[in-house]
Amino acid sequence: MGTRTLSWNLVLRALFLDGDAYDRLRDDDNPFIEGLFLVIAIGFGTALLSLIGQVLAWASIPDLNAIKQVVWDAYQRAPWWSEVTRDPAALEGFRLGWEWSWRIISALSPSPLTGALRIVIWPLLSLLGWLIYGTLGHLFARLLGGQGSLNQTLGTTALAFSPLLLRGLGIIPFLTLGGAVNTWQLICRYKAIRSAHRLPWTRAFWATLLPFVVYLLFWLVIGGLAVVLIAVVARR
Amino acid sequence: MKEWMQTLRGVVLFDGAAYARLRERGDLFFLGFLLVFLLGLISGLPDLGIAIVRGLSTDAVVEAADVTAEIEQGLAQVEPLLQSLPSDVRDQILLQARQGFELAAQIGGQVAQLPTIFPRRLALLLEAVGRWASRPLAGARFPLATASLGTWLGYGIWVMLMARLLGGRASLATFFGMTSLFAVPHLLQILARVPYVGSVFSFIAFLWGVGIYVKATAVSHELGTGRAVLAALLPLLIVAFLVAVIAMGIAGTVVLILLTR
Repeated sequence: MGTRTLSWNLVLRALFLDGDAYDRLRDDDNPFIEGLFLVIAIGFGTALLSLIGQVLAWASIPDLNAIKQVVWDAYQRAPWWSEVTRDPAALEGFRLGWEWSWRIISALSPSPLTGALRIVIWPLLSLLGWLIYGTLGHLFARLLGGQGSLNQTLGTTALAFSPLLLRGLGIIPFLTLGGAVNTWQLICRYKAIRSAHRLPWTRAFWATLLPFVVYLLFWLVIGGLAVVLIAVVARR
Repeated sequence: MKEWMQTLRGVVLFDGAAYARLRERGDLFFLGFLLVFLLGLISGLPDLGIAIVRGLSTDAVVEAADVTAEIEQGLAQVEPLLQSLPSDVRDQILLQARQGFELAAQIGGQVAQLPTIFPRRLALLLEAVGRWASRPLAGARFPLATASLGTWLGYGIWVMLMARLLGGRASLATFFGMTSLFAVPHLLQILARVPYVGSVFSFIAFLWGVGIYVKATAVSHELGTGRAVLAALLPLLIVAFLVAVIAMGIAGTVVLILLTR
Protein backbone atom coordinates (compact mmCIF):
# COMPACT_ATOMS: atom_id res chain seq x y z
CA MET A 1 0.00 0.00 0.00
CA GLY A 2 1.60 3.25 -1.15
CA THR A 3 1.49 6.59 0.61
CA ARG A 4 -0.82 9.35 -0.53
CA THR A 5 0.99 12.52 -1.60
CA LEU A 6 -1.96 14.33 -3.13
CA SER A 7 -3.68 16.90 -0.96
CA TRP A 8 -5.67 20.08 -1.35
CA ASN A 9 -2.62 22.02 -0.18
CA LEU A 10 -0.37 20.37 -2.78
CA VAL A 11 -2.83 21.20 -5.59
CA LEU A 12 -3.03 24.84 -4.50
CA ARG A 13 0.76 25.07 -4.32
CA ALA A 14 1.00 23.62 -7.85
CA LEU A 15 -1.64 26.09 -9.03
CA PHE A 16 0.48 28.96 -7.72
CA LEU A 17 3.64 27.63 -9.44
CA ASP A 18 5.45 26.24 -6.41
CA GLY A 19 8.05 23.97 -8.05
CA ASP A 20 8.35 21.85 -4.91
CA ALA A 21 4.74 20.68 -5.30
CA TYR A 22 5.53 19.16 -8.72
CA ASP A 23 8.73 17.59 -7.34
CA ARG A 24 6.78 15.96 -4.49
CA LEU A 25 4.29 14.29 -6.81
CA ARG A 26 7.12 13.26 -9.15
CA ASP A 27 8.77 11.46 -6.23
CA ASP A 28 5.55 9.69 -5.17
CA ASP A 29 5.54 5.87 -5.40
CA ASN A 30 2.77 5.97 -8.05
CA PRO A 31 2.24 9.45 -9.52
CA PHE A 32 -0.08 8.10 -12.26
CA ILE A 33 -2.76 6.93 -9.81
CA GLU A 34 -2.63 10.20 -7.87
CA GLY A 35 -2.83 12.12 -11.16
CA LEU A 36 -5.74 10.04 -12.41
CA PHE A 37 -7.73 10.79 -9.27
CA LEU A 38 -6.90 14.50 -9.47
CA VAL A 39 -7.87 14.94 -13.14
CA ILE A 40 -11.22 13.17 -12.66
CA ALA A 41 -11.92 15.02 -9.40
CA ILE A 42 -11.25 18.43 -10.97
CA GLY A 43 -13.41 17.62 -14.02
CA PHE A 44 -16.27 16.25 -11.93
CA GLY A 45 -16.18 18.85 -9.15
CA THR A 46 -16.02 21.88 -11.42
CA ALA A 47 -18.78 20.44 -13.65
CA LEU A 48 -21.03 20.10 -10.59
CA LEU A 49 -20.42 23.74 -9.60
CA SER A 50 -20.91 24.85 -13.19
CA LEU A 51 -24.27 23.02 -13.30
CA ILE A 52 -25.57 25.35 -10.58
CA GLY A 53 -24.50 28.39 -12.62
CA GLN A 54 -26.07 26.94 -15.77
CA VAL A 55 -29.42 26.36 -14.05
CA LEU A 56 -29.43 29.90 -12.58
CA ALA A 57 -28.58 31.42 -15.98
CA TRP A 58 -31.19 29.26 -17.74
CA ALA A 59 -33.85 30.47 -15.30
CA SER A 60 -32.83 34.07 -16.00
CA ILE A 61 -33.24 34.10 -19.77
CA PRO A 62 -36.44 33.75 -21.82
CA ASP A 63 -37.22 30.60 -23.79
CA LEU A 64 -34.96 30.44 -26.88
CA ASN A 65 -37.85 29.61 -29.24
CA ALA A 66 -39.69 32.74 -28.09
CA ILE A 67 -36.54 34.84 -28.73
CA LYS A 68 -36.16 33.21 -32.15
CA GLN A 69 -39.76 34.14 -33.02
CA VAL A 70 -39.26 37.78 -31.90
CA VAL A 71 -36.15 38.11 -34.09
CA TRP A 72 -37.89 36.45 -37.07
CA ASP A 73 -40.89 38.80 -36.79
CA ALA A 74 -38.57 41.82 -36.52
CA TYR A 75 -36.62 40.77 -39.63
CA GLN A 76 -39.84 40.60 -41.61
CA ARG A 77 -40.53 44.24 -40.72
CA ALA A 78 -37.01 45.32 -41.75
CA PRO A 79 -36.58 47.43 -44.93
CA TRP A 80 -34.24 44.84 -46.53
CA TRP A 81 -36.60 41.91 -46.03
CA SER A 82 -38.58 42.56 -49.26
CA GLU A 83 -35.31 42.42 -51.24
CA VAL A 84 -34.44 39.05 -49.70
CA THR A 85 -37.86 37.56 -50.46
CA ARG A 86 -37.72 38.78 -54.08
CA ASP A 87 -34.91 36.32 -54.85
CA PRO A 88 -35.80 32.67 -54.00
CA ALA A 89 -32.10 31.65 -53.93
CA ALA A 90 -31.27 34.48 -51.50
CA LEU A 91 -34.26 33.51 -49.33
CA GLU A 92 -33.16 29.86 -49.26
CA GLY A 93 -29.60 30.89 -48.34
CA PHE A 94 -30.94 33.16 -45.61
CA ARG A 95 -33.12 30.38 -44.15
CA LEU A 96 -30.18 27.97 -44.16
CA GLY A 97 -27.94 30.49 -42.36
CA TRP A 98 -30.77 31.30 -39.95
CA GLU A 99 -31.33 27.66 -38.92
CA TRP A 100 -27.60 26.98 -38.50
CA SER A 101 -27.13 30.16 -36.44
CA TRP A 102 -29.91 29.12 -34.07
CA ARG A 103 -28.51 25.63 -33.73
CA ILE A 104 -25.20 27.15 -32.63
CA ILE A 105 -26.91 29.65 -30.29
CA SER A 106 -28.97 26.82 -28.81
CA ALA A 107 -25.84 24.71 -28.19
CA LEU A 108 -24.05 27.63 -26.50
CA SER A 109 -26.99 28.81 -24.39
CA PRO A 110 -27.14 27.85 -20.73
CA SER A 111 -29.40 24.92 -19.97
CA PRO A 112 -29.69 22.29 -17.23
CA LEU A 113 -29.11 19.57 -19.86
CA THR A 114 -25.82 21.13 -21.04
CA GLY A 115 -24.78 21.52 -17.40
CA ALA A 116 -25.67 17.92 -16.58
CA LEU A 117 -23.83 16.59 -19.64
CA ARG A 118 -20.69 18.40 -18.48
CA ILE A 119 -20.60 16.18 -15.39
CA VAL A 120 -19.79 13.29 -17.74
CA ILE A 121 -18.01 15.15 -20.53
CA TRP A 122 -15.56 17.30 -18.55
CA PRO A 123 -13.91 14.44 -16.61
CA LEU A 124 -13.74 12.30 -19.77
CA LEU A 125 -12.24 15.08 -21.91
CA SER A 126 -9.82 16.02 -19.14
CA LEU A 127 -8.75 12.39 -18.86
CA LEU A 128 -8.24 12.08 -22.61
CA GLY A 129 -6.40 15.41 -22.83
CA TRP A 130 -4.20 14.47 -19.89
CA LEU A 131 -3.23 11.07 -21.30
CA ILE A 132 -2.54 12.40 -24.82
CA TYR A 133 -0.62 15.49 -23.68
CA GLY A 134 1.23 13.59 -20.96
CA THR A 135 2.36 10.88 -23.38
CA LEU A 136 3.40 13.33 -26.11
CA GLY A 137 5.12 15.60 -23.58
CA HIS A 138 6.95 12.60 -22.19
CA LEU A 139 8.11 11.49 -25.67
CA PHE A 140 9.43 14.95 -26.55
CA ALA A 141 11.06 15.40 -23.16
CA ARG A 142 12.86 12.06 -23.56
CA LEU A 143 13.93 13.00 -27.09
CA LEU A 144 15.37 16.23 -25.65
CA GLY A 145 17.37 14.37 -23.02
CA GLY A 146 14.82 14.08 -20.17
CA GLN A 147 15.29 11.45 -17.47
CA GLY A 148 11.75 11.08 -16.05
CA SER A 149 9.48 8.05 -16.44
CA LEU A 150 6.05 8.14 -18.10
CA ASN A 151 4.54 7.51 -14.65
CA GLN A 152 6.24 10.64 -13.30
CA THR A 153 5.34 12.76 -16.35
CA LEU A 154 1.68 11.79 -16.07
CA GLY A 155 1.72 12.57 -12.36
CA THR A 156 3.18 16.05 -12.71
CA THR A 157 1.13 16.94 -15.81
CA ALA A 158 -1.99 16.00 -13.84
CA LEU A 159 -1.03 18.69 -11.32
CA ALA A 160 -0.93 21.09 -14.28
CA PHE A 161 -4.71 20.65 -14.49
CA SER A 162 -5.04 22.69 -11.29
CA PRO A 163 -5.87 25.96 -13.14
CA LEU A 164 -9.04 24.23 -14.37
CA LEU A 165 -10.25 24.66 -10.79
CA LEU A 166 -11.18 28.17 -11.93
CA ARG A 167 -13.97 26.55 -13.95
CA GLY A 168 -15.63 26.10 -10.56
CA LEU A 169 -16.32 29.85 -10.69
CA GLY A 170 -18.94 28.81 -13.24
CA ILE A 171 -21.23 28.57 -10.20
CA ILE A 172 -21.73 32.28 -10.88
CA PRO A 173 -24.28 32.51 -13.71
CA PHE A 174 -23.22 34.31 -16.92
CA LEU A 175 -19.53 34.09 -15.98
CA THR A 176 -17.09 33.94 -18.89
CA LEU A 177 -13.70 32.39 -18.19
CA GLY A 178 -11.76 33.47 -21.30
CA GLY A 179 -8.38 32.13 -22.31
CA ALA A 180 -6.49 32.95 -19.10
CA VAL A 181 -7.08 29.44 -17.74
CA ASN A 182 -5.47 27.85 -20.80
CA THR A 183 -2.41 30.10 -20.53
CA TRP A 184 -2.15 29.33 -16.83
CA GLN A 185 -2.38 25.61 -17.60
CA LEU A 186 0.36 25.95 -20.22
CA ILE A 187 2.64 27.58 -17.63
CA CYS A 188 1.87 24.76 -15.18
CA ARG A 189 2.58 22.17 -17.89
CA TYR A 190 6.01 23.71 -18.40
CA LYS A 191 6.65 23.41 -14.65
CA ALA A 192 5.40 19.80 -14.74
CA ILE A 193 7.60 18.67 -17.66
CA ARG A 194 10.61 20.49 -16.23
CA SER A 195 10.12 18.86 -12.83
CA ALA A 196 9.48 15.34 -14.16
CA HIS A 197 12.48 15.33 -16.49
CA ARG A 198 14.84 17.77 -14.71
CA LEU A 199 15.41 19.58 -18.00
CA PRO A 200 17.02 23.01 -18.49
CA TRP A 201 14.48 25.74 -19.28
CA THR A 202 14.98 25.85 -23.06
CA ARG A 203 14.47 22.09 -23.48
CA ALA A 204 11.53 22.06 -21.08
CA PHE A 205 10.04 24.93 -23.13
CA TRP A 206 10.22 22.94 -26.37
CA ALA A 207 9.00 19.73 -24.74
CA THR A 208 5.97 21.68 -23.46
CA LEU A 209 5.15 23.27 -26.81
CA LEU A 210 5.85 20.44 -29.25
CA PRO A 211 2.72 18.41 -28.33
CA PHE A 212 0.69 21.42 -29.51
CA VAL A 213 2.52 21.29 -32.85
CA VAL A 214 1.40 17.64 -33.11
CA TYR A 215 -2.19 18.71 -32.30
CA LEU A 216 -2.00 21.38 -35.02
CA LEU A 217 -0.67 18.93 -37.60
CA PHE A 218 -3.35 16.41 -36.64
CA TRP A 219 -6.15 18.94 -37.12
CA LEU A 220 -4.63 20.16 -40.40
CA VAL A 221 -4.64 16.56 -41.69
CA ILE A 222 -8.23 16.05 -40.48
CA GLY A 223 -9.26 19.37 -42.07
CA GLY A 224 -7.54 18.42 -45.34
CA LEU A 225 -9.25 15.03 -45.40
CA ALA A 226 -12.61 16.67 -44.71
CA VAL A 227 -12.11 19.08 -47.62
CA VAL A 228 -11.19 16.20 -49.95
CA LEU A 229 -14.21 14.22 -48.78
CA ILE A 230 -16.57 17.14 -49.32
CA ALA A 231 -15.09 17.75 -52.77
CA VAL A 232 -15.58 14.07 -53.73
CA VAL A 233 -19.15 14.01 -52.44
CA ALA A 234 -19.97 17.32 -54.19
CA ARG A 235 -18.67 15.97 -57.55
CA ARG A 236 -20.97 12.94 -57.49
CA MET B 1 -1.61 45.15 6.09
CA LYS B 2 0.07 48.50 6.79
CA GLU B 3 3.39 47.14 5.59
CA TRP B 4 1.74 45.77 2.45
CA MET B 5 0.14 49.14 1.68
CA GLN B 6 3.50 50.87 2.17
CA THR B 7 5.10 48.43 -0.27
CA LEU B 8 2.38 49.08 -2.83
CA ARG B 9 2.87 52.83 -2.36
CA GLY B 10 6.61 52.34 -3.00
CA VAL B 11 5.81 50.29 -6.10
CA VAL B 12 3.59 52.92 -7.72
CA LEU B 13 6.26 55.56 -6.97
CA PHE B 14 8.94 53.35 -8.62
CA ASP B 15 10.88 52.92 -5.35
CA GLY B 16 13.56 50.29 -6.06
CA ALA B 17 13.68 49.12 -2.43
CA ALA B 18 9.95 48.25 -2.50
CA TYR B 19 10.44 46.13 -5.63
CA ALA B 20 13.49 44.40 -4.10
CA ARG B 21 11.51 43.62 -0.89
CA LEU B 22 8.71 42.07 -2.90
CA ARG B 23 11.07 39.95 -4.99
CA GLU B 24 12.16 38.07 -1.89
CA ARG B 25 8.65 36.86 -1.02
CA GLY B 26 7.91 33.17 -1.51
CA ASP B 27 4.21 33.53 -2.33
CA LEU B 28 4.57 36.04 -5.15
CA PHE B 29 2.42 34.31 -7.76
CA PHE B 30 -0.45 33.88 -5.31
CA LEU B 31 -0.20 37.54 -4.32
CA GLY B 32 -0.06 38.53 -7.98
CA PHE B 33 -3.20 36.53 -8.74
CA LEU B 34 -5.04 38.11 -5.81
CA LEU B 35 -3.91 41.61 -6.79
CA VAL B 36 -4.96 41.34 -10.43
CA PHE B 37 -8.25 39.60 -9.58
CA LEU B 38 -9.29 42.02 -6.84
CA LEU B 39 -8.23 45.14 -8.74
CA GLY B 40 -10.10 43.86 -11.79
CA LEU B 41 -13.22 43.49 -9.66
CA ILE B 42 -12.81 46.87 -7.95
CA SER B 43 -12.25 48.77 -11.21
CA GLY B 44 -15.44 47.17 -12.56
CA LEU B 45 -17.58 48.31 -9.61
CA PRO B 46 -18.97 51.44 -11.36
CA ASP B 47 -20.15 49.33 -14.31
CA LEU B 48 -21.76 46.88 -11.88
CA GLY B 49 -23.49 49.75 -10.07
CA ILE B 50 -24.82 51.20 -13.33
CA ALA B 51 -26.04 47.78 -14.48
CA ILE B 52 -27.82 47.17 -11.16
CA VAL B 53 -29.48 50.61 -11.14
CA ARG B 54 -30.62 50.07 -14.74
CA GLY B 55 -31.88 46.62 -13.84
CA LEU B 56 -33.87 47.94 -10.87
CA SER B 57 -35.48 50.75 -12.88
CA THR B 58 -36.86 48.61 -15.67
CA ASP B 59 -38.94 51.37 -17.19
CA ALA B 60 -39.44 50.48 -20.87
CA VAL B 61 -39.86 54.13 -21.95
CA VAL B 62 -36.65 55.24 -20.17
CA GLU B 63 -34.77 52.23 -21.58
CA ALA B 64 -35.91 52.94 -25.13
CA ALA B 65 -34.91 56.61 -24.75
CA ASP B 66 -31.47 55.54 -23.40
CA VAL B 67 -30.90 53.17 -26.30
CA THR B 68 -31.96 55.78 -28.88
CA ALA B 69 -29.66 58.36 -27.28
CA GLU B 70 -26.75 55.88 -27.33
CA ILE B 71 -27.38 55.09 -31.01
CA GLU B 72 -27.45 58.77 -31.95
CA GLN B 73 -24.30 59.43 -29.88
CA GLY B 74 -22.48 56.53 -31.59
CA LEU B 75 -23.49 57.68 -35.07
CA ALA B 76 -22.44 61.27 -34.28
CA GLN B 77 -18.99 59.93 -33.32
CA VAL B 78 -18.68 57.92 -36.55
CA GLU B 79 -19.91 60.71 -38.88
CA PRO B 80 -16.64 62.76 -38.91
CA LEU B 81 -14.74 59.61 -39.95
CA LEU B 82 -16.91 59.37 -43.09
CA GLN B 83 -16.32 62.96 -44.24
CA SER B 84 -14.04 61.85 -47.09
CA LEU B 85 -16.91 59.89 -48.69
CA PRO B 86 -19.36 61.46 -51.20
CA SER B 87 -22.37 62.86 -49.34
CA ASP B 88 -24.91 60.46 -50.93
CA VAL B 89 -22.78 57.43 -50.00
CA ARG B 90 -22.27 58.78 -46.48
CA ASP B 91 -26.00 59.38 -46.02
CA GLN B 92 -26.76 55.88 -47.28
CA ILE B 93 -24.26 54.30 -44.83
CA LEU B 94 -25.61 56.32 -41.91
CA LEU B 95 -29.22 55.51 -42.83
CA GLN B 96 -28.51 51.79 -43.01
CA ALA B 97 -26.54 51.88 -39.75
CA ARG B 98 -29.39 53.75 -38.02
CA GLN B 99 -31.97 51.28 -39.35
CA GLY B 100 -29.80 48.35 -38.23
CA PHE B 101 -29.34 49.74 -34.72
CA GLU B 102 -33.03 50.58 -34.41
CA LEU B 103 -33.98 47.06 -35.44
CA ALA B 104 -31.55 45.63 -32.88
CA ALA B 105 -32.98 47.95 -30.20
CA GLN B 106 -36.55 46.86 -31.08
CA ILE B 107 -35.55 43.21 -30.82
CA GLY B 108 -33.73 43.85 -27.52
CA GLY B 109 -36.79 45.65 -26.11
CA GLN B 110 -39.18 42.85 -27.09
CA VAL B 111 -36.89 40.09 -25.83
CA ALA B 112 -36.63 41.93 -22.51
CA GLN B 113 -40.42 41.71 -22.18
CA LEU B 114 -40.50 37.92 -22.66
CA PRO B 115 -41.25 35.91 -19.51
CA THR B 116 -38.44 34.24 -17.53
CA ILE B 117 -38.57 31.75 -14.66
CA PHE B 118 -36.86 34.21 -12.31
CA PRO B 119 -38.35 37.71 -11.90
CA ARG B 120 -36.79 40.04 -14.47
CA ARG B 121 -35.02 42.20 -11.88
CA LEU B 122 -33.35 39.21 -10.27
CA ALA B 123 -32.35 37.92 -13.73
CA LEU B 124 -30.78 41.28 -14.63
CA LEU B 125 -28.99 41.39 -11.26
CA LEU B 126 -27.51 37.90 -11.81
CA GLU B 127 -26.42 38.86 -15.32
CA ALA B 128 -24.76 42.05 -14.08
CA VAL B 129 -22.90 40.14 -11.35
CA GLY B 130 -21.79 37.48 -13.85
CA ARG B 131 -20.40 40.07 -16.24
CA TRP B 132 -18.67 41.89 -13.38
CA ALA B 133 -17.10 38.68 -12.08
CA SER B 134 -15.90 37.85 -15.62
CA ARG B 135 -14.01 41.12 -15.86
CA PRO B 136 -10.77 40.07 -14.09
CA LEU B 137 -10.68 36.84 -16.11
CA ALA B 138 -11.09 38.34 -19.56
CA GLY B 139 -8.41 39.42 -22.00
CA ALA B 140 -7.69 42.99 -23.07
CA ARG B 141 -8.12 44.66 -26.45
CA PHE B 142 -4.52 45.84 -26.06
CA PRO B 143 -1.75 44.31 -23.90
CA LEU B 144 -1.77 45.59 -20.28
CA ALA B 145 -4.77 47.85 -20.96
CA THR B 146 -6.87 46.37 -18.13
CA ALA B 147 -6.27 44.63 -14.82
CA SER B 148 -7.12 41.11 -15.95
CA LEU B 149 -5.64 37.62 -15.81
CA GLY B 150 -5.94 37.39 -19.59
CA THR B 151 -3.48 40.18 -20.26
CA TRP B 152 -1.29 39.47 -17.20
CA LEU B 153 -0.67 35.82 -18.13
CA GLY B 154 -1.36 35.95 -21.88
CA TYR B 155 1.04 38.79 -22.63
CA GLY B 156 3.37 38.00 -19.74
CA ILE B 157 4.27 34.56 -21.07
CA TRP B 158 5.80 36.17 -24.17
CA VAL B 159 7.59 38.88 -22.19
CA MET B 160 8.99 36.17 -19.90
CA LEU B 161 10.35 34.33 -22.94
CA MET B 162 11.92 37.50 -24.39
CA ALA B 163 13.45 38.44 -21.02
CA ARG B 164 14.97 34.96 -20.69
CA LEU B 165 16.39 35.20 -24.23
CA LEU B 166 17.86 38.61 -23.30
CA GLY B 167 19.66 37.10 -20.30
CA GLY B 168 16.99 37.33 -17.59
CA ARG B 169 17.10 34.93 -14.64
CA ALA B 170 13.73 35.17 -12.90
CA SER B 171 11.60 32.14 -12.15
CA LEU B 172 8.05 32.09 -13.53
CA ALA B 173 6.53 32.72 -10.09
CA THR B 174 8.81 35.68 -9.38
CA PHE B 175 8.31 37.26 -12.80
CA PHE B 176 4.52 36.92 -12.81
CA GLY B 177 4.25 37.96 -9.17
CA MET B 178 6.29 41.09 -9.75
CA THR B 179 4.63 42.08 -13.04
CA SER B 180 1.16 41.75 -11.49
CA LEU B 181 1.92 45.13 -9.92
CA PHE B 182 1.05 46.75 -13.27
CA ALA B 183 -2.57 46.32 -12.17
CA VAL B 184 -2.29 48.81 -9.24
CA PRO B 185 -2.69 52.03 -11.30
CA HIS B 186 -5.72 50.49 -12.97
CA LEU B 187 -7.64 51.46 -9.84
CA LEU B 188 -7.97 54.76 -11.74
CA GLN B 189 -10.34 52.98 -14.09
CA ILE B 190 -12.99 53.45 -11.44
CA LEU B 191 -13.15 56.95 -12.96
CA ALA B 192 -13.35 55.69 -16.55
CA ARG B 193 -17.09 56.49 -16.67
CA VAL B 194 -16.60 60.16 -15.78
CA PRO B 195 -17.85 62.15 -18.80
CA TYR B 196 -15.16 63.73 -21.05
CA VAL B 197 -12.13 62.90 -18.82
CA GLY B 198 -12.81 59.21 -18.17
CA SER B 199 -10.67 58.02 -21.07
CA VAL B 200 -7.82 60.27 -19.86
CA PHE B 201 -7.81 58.42 -16.51
CA SER B 202 -7.74 55.10 -18.36
CA PHE B 203 -4.83 56.25 -20.51
CA ILE B 204 -2.87 57.46 -17.46
CA ALA B 205 -3.53 54.10 -15.76
CA PHE B 206 -2.26 52.28 -18.85
CA LEU B 207 0.97 54.31 -19.14
CA TRP B 208 1.63 54.11 -15.40
CA GLY B 209 0.97 50.36 -15.48
CA VAL B 210 3.39 49.88 -18.39
CA GLY B 211 6.07 51.81 -16.46
CA ILE B 212 5.60 49.54 -13.44
CA TYR B 213 5.59 46.48 -15.68
CA VAL B 214 8.97 47.41 -17.19
CA LYS B 215 10.45 48.15 -13.73
CA ALA B 216 9.10 44.82 -12.39
CA THR B 217 10.56 42.97 -15.39
CA ALA B 218 13.93 44.64 -14.83
CA VAL B 219 14.00 43.88 -11.08
CA SER B 220 12.71 40.31 -11.31
CA HIS B 221 15.06 39.31 -14.14
CA GLU B 222 17.93 41.48 -12.91
CA LEU B 223 18.08 43.21 -16.30
CA GLY B 224 18.97 46.78 -17.22
CA THR B 225 16.13 49.15 -18.06
CA GLY B 226 16.94 49.03 -21.80
CA ARG B 227 16.67 45.27 -21.96
CA ALA B 228 13.56 45.26 -19.79
CA VAL B 229 11.87 47.75 -22.15
CA LEU B 230 12.90 45.60 -25.10
CA ALA B 231 11.56 42.44 -23.43
CA ALA B 232 8.24 44.16 -22.64
CA LEU B 233 7.84 45.62 -26.13
CA LEU B 234 9.22 42.88 -28.39
CA PRO B 235 6.13 40.61 -28.32
CA LEU B 236 3.96 43.56 -29.37
CA LEU B 237 6.43 44.64 -32.07
CA ILE B 238 6.69 41.09 -33.44
CA VAL B 239 2.89 40.79 -33.64
CA ALA B 240 2.63 44.25 -35.26
CA PHE B 241 5.31 43.24 -37.79
CA LEU B 242 3.54 39.96 -38.60
CA VAL B 243 0.17 41.71 -38.97
CA ALA B 244 1.77 44.32 -41.28
CA VAL B 245 3.41 41.59 -43.41
CA ILE B 246 0.14 39.63 -43.67
CA ALA B 247 -1.86 42.80 -44.46
CA MET B 248 0.65 43.80 -47.14
CA GLY B 249 0.54 40.27 -48.55
CA ILE B 250 -3.27 40.35 -48.76
CA ALA B 251 -3.25 43.88 -50.25
CA GLY B 252 -0.59 42.85 -52.79
CA THR B 253 -2.60 39.78 -53.81
CA VAL B 254 -5.77 41.84 -54.23
CA VAL B 255 -3.92 44.45 -56.36
CA LEU B 256 -2.37 41.67 -58.45
CA ILE B 257 -5.78 40.07 -59.06
CA LEU B 258 -7.29 43.45 -60.03
CA LEU B 259 -4.40 44.26 -62.39
CA THR B 260 -4.51 40.90 -64.16
CA ARG B 261 -8.23 41.10 -64.82
